[in-house]
Amino acid sequence: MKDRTLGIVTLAAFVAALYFALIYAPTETTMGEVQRIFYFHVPAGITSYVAFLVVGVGSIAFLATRDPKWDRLAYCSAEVGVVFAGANIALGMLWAKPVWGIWWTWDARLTLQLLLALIFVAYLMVGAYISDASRRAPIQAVVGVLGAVNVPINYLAIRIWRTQHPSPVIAGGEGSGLDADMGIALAVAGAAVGLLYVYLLRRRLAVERTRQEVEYLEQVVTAQ
Amino acid sequence: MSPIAALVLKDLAIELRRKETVVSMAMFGLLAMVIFAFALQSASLATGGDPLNNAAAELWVALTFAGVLGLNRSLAIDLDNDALQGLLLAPVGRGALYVGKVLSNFLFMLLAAAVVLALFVVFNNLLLDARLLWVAVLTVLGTFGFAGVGTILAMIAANTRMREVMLPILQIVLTMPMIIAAVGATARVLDDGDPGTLYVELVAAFDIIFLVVSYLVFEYVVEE
Amino acid sequence: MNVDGLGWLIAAYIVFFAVVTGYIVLLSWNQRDLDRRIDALESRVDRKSRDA
Repeated sequence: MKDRTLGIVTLAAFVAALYFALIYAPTETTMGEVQRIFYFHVPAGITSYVAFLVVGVGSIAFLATRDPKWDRLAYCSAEVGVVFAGANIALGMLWAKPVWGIWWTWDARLTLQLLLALIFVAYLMVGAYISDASRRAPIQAVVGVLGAVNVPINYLAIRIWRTQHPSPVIAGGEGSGLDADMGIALAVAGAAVGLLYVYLLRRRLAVERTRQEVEYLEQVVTAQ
Repeated sequence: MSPIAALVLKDLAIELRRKETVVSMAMFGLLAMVIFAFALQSASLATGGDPLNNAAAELWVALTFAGVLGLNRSLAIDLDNDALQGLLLAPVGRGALYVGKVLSNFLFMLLAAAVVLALFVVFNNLLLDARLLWVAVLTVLGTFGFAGVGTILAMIAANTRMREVMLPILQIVLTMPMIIAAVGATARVLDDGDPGTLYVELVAAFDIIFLVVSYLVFEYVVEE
Repeated sequence: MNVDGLGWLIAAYIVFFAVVTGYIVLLSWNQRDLDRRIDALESRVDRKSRDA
């Protein structure tokens, strides 16, 4: 699928997601309208996890195969993942302020998401600050692996530390559960956000390929 | 003599000649502990909290900052006169190089930590009992994990512009779960003598996982 | 209807779409900027190979 087509499909999915999130889904009884932030907050968070998982897989695949396409995939996904993590945190804060009365608390899930974003910002910084182009890819991949390994350990550490965040409403054990219409709205919004990730990743990869082409042409020009 | 022992003895000889790394680490760690004691104890005096509540935090902030400083020093020594280049040309496996560097960094950090820990005991009027043994064990475990990750991160930072900035950023971000667990365990030991098995296990797991992963990926960081 | 909650909801959606749109605009600008540089470089390469 071409990027333009994918962009139009994503846009259409977002129009549908807005309808389902704002009109179709019933108003939550205790929190009221503000609960509708949930329909984009949760998919943005899950998508950022997926994006960071792609960074880990891409980094390992690059170290194993030395194919530059894995390296590109890893750091482009990291950048898009940081955007989603940032959006997720911002949405969460705008929900927490009216519902909890505070912007931020050092709760397990919040802290984990913050640390994940920090790990992958550091990962992107490493790549940006290595001048030697041939050394950048393997070194950044190593940071990607170390960062990915950190994710489950961070999860455990913070889990033992504290928990205040509402437990997952889906598969969250006894007593949890989402109204069926809310579930549909979440699924539609999730699909839209997922498509957005693929779209943004493809656009970012296209930028990266063009950048590498520019570097190659500059070498050709100076060599002549 | 095994290459690992030779590497450690080489670093030890340099340190015995210059006496720079351990002294500056201990001094910096001590100052970090003192400044955090001023900051936190002023706060707890104002609010009427127990000053010992902050003791664990002061200790780990001091050890973290001293550790980062030590890693920066050890890296600077390796980069002076292209000594690292010489090491890489020596007929020593990359794995042995990594282990040797971890051991010497660990040794220096431990010496500095001993100084910081001694003053920590005096400043907080701790009794010389089993609680202190736990604090010492946690310090050894935490310092070992810190040296394990820090050694590979120092080599990564060596490849970037602004290595003095990138090393602390990477080090603090990636050791976060270990710090959370170590502070938690230390605070609990100081409170009631029980560090909490989960916390200690987590620090140990962090050490093992990152030592193994770093050992496996180290060759990608130093390859030509 | 909880009017206060509605304000937060609107603010959150605006922030979310502003972040996403901002990133897309940035990517588009980068892409166009690089495309321009490619055009300039390619014409230089062509000219040089003609001269040679």
